[in-house]
Amino acid sequence: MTTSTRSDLTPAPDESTAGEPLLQVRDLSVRFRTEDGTLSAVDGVSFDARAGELLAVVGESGCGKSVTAMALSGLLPGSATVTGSVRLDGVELVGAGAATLRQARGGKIAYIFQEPMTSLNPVFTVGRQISEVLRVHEGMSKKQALARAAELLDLVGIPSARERLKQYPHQLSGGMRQRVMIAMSVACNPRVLVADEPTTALDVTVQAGILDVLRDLRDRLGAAVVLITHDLGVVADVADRVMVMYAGRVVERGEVHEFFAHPRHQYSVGLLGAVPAARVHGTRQRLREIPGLVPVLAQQPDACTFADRCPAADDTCRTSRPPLTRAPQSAHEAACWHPATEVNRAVPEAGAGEAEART
Amino acid sequence: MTTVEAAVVDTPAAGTATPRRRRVLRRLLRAPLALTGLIVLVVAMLVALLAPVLAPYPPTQTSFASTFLPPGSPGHVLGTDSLGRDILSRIIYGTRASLVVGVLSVILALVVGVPLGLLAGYFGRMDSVISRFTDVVLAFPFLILAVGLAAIRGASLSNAALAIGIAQIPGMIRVSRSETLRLKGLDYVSAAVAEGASDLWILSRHILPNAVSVLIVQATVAIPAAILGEAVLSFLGLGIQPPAPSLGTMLSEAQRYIARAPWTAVMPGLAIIALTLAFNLCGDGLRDALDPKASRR
Amino acid sequence: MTAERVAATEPVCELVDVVKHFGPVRAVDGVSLRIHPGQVVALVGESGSGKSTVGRCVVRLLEPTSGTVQLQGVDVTHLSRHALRPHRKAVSIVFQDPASSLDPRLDVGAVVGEPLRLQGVGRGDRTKRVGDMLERVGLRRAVAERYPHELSGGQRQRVSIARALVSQPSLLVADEPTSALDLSVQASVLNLLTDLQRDLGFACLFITHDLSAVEYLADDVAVMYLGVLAEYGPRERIFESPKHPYTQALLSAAPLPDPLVQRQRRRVVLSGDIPTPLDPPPGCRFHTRCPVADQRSRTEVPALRHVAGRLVACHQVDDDGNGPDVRLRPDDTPVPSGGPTP
Repeated sequence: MTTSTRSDLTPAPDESTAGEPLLQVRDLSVRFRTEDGTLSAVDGVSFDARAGELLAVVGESGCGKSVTAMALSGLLPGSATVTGSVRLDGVELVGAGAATLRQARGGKIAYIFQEPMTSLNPVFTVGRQISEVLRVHEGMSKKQALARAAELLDLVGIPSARERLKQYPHQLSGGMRQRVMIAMSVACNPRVLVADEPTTALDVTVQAGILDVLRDLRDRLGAAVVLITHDLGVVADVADRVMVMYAGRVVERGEVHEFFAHPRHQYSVGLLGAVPAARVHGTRQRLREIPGLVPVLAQQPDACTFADRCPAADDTCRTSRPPLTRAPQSAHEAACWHPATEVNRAVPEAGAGEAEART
Repeated sequence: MTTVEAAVVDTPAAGTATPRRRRVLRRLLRAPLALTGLIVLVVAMLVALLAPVLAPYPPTQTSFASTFLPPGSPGHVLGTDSLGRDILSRIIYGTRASLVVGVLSVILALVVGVPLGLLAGYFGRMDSVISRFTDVVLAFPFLILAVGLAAIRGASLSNAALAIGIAQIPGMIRVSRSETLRLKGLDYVSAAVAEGASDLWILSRHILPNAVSVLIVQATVAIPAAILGEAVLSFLGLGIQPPAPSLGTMLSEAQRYIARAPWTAVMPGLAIIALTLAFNLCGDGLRDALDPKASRR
Repeated sequence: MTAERVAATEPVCELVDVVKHFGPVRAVDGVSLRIHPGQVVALVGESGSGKSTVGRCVVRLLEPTSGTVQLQGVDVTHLSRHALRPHRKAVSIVFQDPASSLDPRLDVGAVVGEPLRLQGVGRGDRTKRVGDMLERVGLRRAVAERYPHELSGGQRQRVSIARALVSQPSLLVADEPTSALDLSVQASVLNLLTDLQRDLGFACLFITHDLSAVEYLADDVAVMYLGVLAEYGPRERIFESPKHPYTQALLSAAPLPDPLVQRQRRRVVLSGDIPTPLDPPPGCRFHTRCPVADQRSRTEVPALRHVAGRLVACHQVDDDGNGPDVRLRPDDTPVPSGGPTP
């Protein structure tokens, strides 16, 4: 079977209905200086965030998704070395000066954090915090800013917006606070929204509402949303495209339905198999396990970093790094020498403890 | 927010993480300020230990022929004081006295304060009693206590240590209590309770060992306060009695002669500063080194 | 509690009307459960539901404000720490956070061996049993010499499980054991729990907010909301035809990892956020967010009744088990179910 090979510097051509790329990331790499030596957290990541599209970045701990997100808005500490390119509306952000970054943040690219509890200042009212953003970035007067703040709270689905403006963060529940956070981030109509696990700390019945807000922002404002998550259910719910990361690299990327129906990278197959699927009345099928641990790499080797844990690995995998390649007649890409060709999430009931558990 | 630390170092491969002690030592040794402090401390301790060997003259030896010799005079590197006593020798012995008081008083505070703090933090019922007691001692002005002790038992080095030690107890109780409260809420303590462990078992096996690092830091920071305290007490005549040298008494005696022979005050003053600073820097460094969440600069 | 379990066997654990208040916080306000030998009961709820508090009452880490806790027929509700000791062996607990579950100063062998040591088991015997247990949870015997910080989150949870099972308890309380773990690691730990439960035969109270794990593991499901039970019954029934509006909302809110199915589902988005247990709403606690609440819901506390093969506390469900399905709009017909949750 032939697969068309392409350099993994250029993402697949636009086959979705999304708009122009607002954020273009090319060959982004991040290394950290730690007391144990260098750490390669992100290696050669490239993707586009397109207007009106929600891209879900999926991966487990140590995959580099959060570091990538932070690199986009220059939020990494000084011990990080960032190389590559991040272009926002044509402006290069990697290595940009503080003024450029400040202008980009809030105005063009907004970042939503995971913990709404600690992201809001407890001593200022909600109204004050939102209007502050507007007064600083848009130069509005206090009255204008408060009016707009009320509009924003409406936008994110907070009832009784005018009353809420006078409340303090501690008077709001977690879900409300997260909505306020989102309202603050979209206050200046950013074109790109980066949300880092925005619903992980929230209850599931509250999560649905937040996801609706994100979906709404994508549709109404035409923003490009980059959603970092580890929850495949969330991905299935809101994502247009999915990007899977492993040990700092992009290992799979494609349209969401395609991804769930036909995952190509063995790691993706493993992830999808790890979620307990709906039972076919009675029989419980063993969950798919991925033996071993995510590697912590000082340098990125010229090999597939998943090879140690992969059921389909061979010598090629261990000696040369697979580029992102497209399946024939598809925009779906995977960095794998032996992509999975069929979905088989059911693992036969294995004997207990047959393989030593190294996870 | 998913911190960088969590995103990056969350997956230790089994067996490759650096053992804690070595990592702490390495961190400590890498911080230049802490290292300087450590070196000064080591030197000070050696000096104190080897005082009889190192001091060029007996500290109380007077010589009316060589009074007020400036630093750099032949035979007296740091000069002499109003009674012709060699300042260097007096500083050496004075450092010894300061360190003795510093260490003894903190040991007293540890021995009394840590168990009280553990009990207060662990047993809610004891907490109110012990905390009120702590507040009372804290409210008591330290100097009044020292004066009182001096009045009852006479002024001496040991009384100074006693007074300072007592004054340090509340601080030690507070730190030990708050650490106990924090540890008590951790899951592994709950696990021990669920296994049927007695309170004594939990305190001695789970809480105390995990509180040690915080207590060490507290002690390292308490010692310079004790040294200063000793200097103050001696300055006021409530501590070590002349002619035995103490950094504080040296300052006290030098008051009268500051205009004429400033080095008699400056030298012991510098010694106090150096000791205090060294302990503080070392304590800070130790605290940073022990903190698992220390940010990477 | 469930019709099938009119068992001759005595329950391993029985809670009757357990109430636990922390000062003004009414964390648990009257919960009754029965866990039979070898049974897995899932206790489901969101924040403020009180499920963790119930778990801690079962293990007697907490003493109930009122109500009774029985372990293997013995009323242990108000026993002193000392009197509880012989009963500790029968019940163990595994916690959520791998980072704080293990004493960082002790090696794995000491951690796993501690329950045995407290029971007076000699060193030689301990070492053997600890080693055996470590192997059972999928770790090498040599891990006994390692320290917690040298292990990954998943490995630490396995050590926690080993510690909990080393004294061969009849009941394991697992308080969100996989919530802090990565997805693939969750899978291995869930597999492990299922295997162990099958091999060793202990009963399990599985506390979680993760419905997919519940569906995977549980025999019975108890849904809690703000300190009280909303619904309680056999897993298949609860998942196939939930009667309580909260259960319905919960099931519909948990997104399924299948975009085709997920995007077709009609989701209930509950208004407002979960009230605080400091001041729970009067009447039915769920009425502030319930799409079908009426005057009665606002004033009268619904009793837990046995209908349609399970227990439900809802005014809108009649004695034959007919009630609203808040996942449907009035003019809808139900979506044919290809799986348990339409």
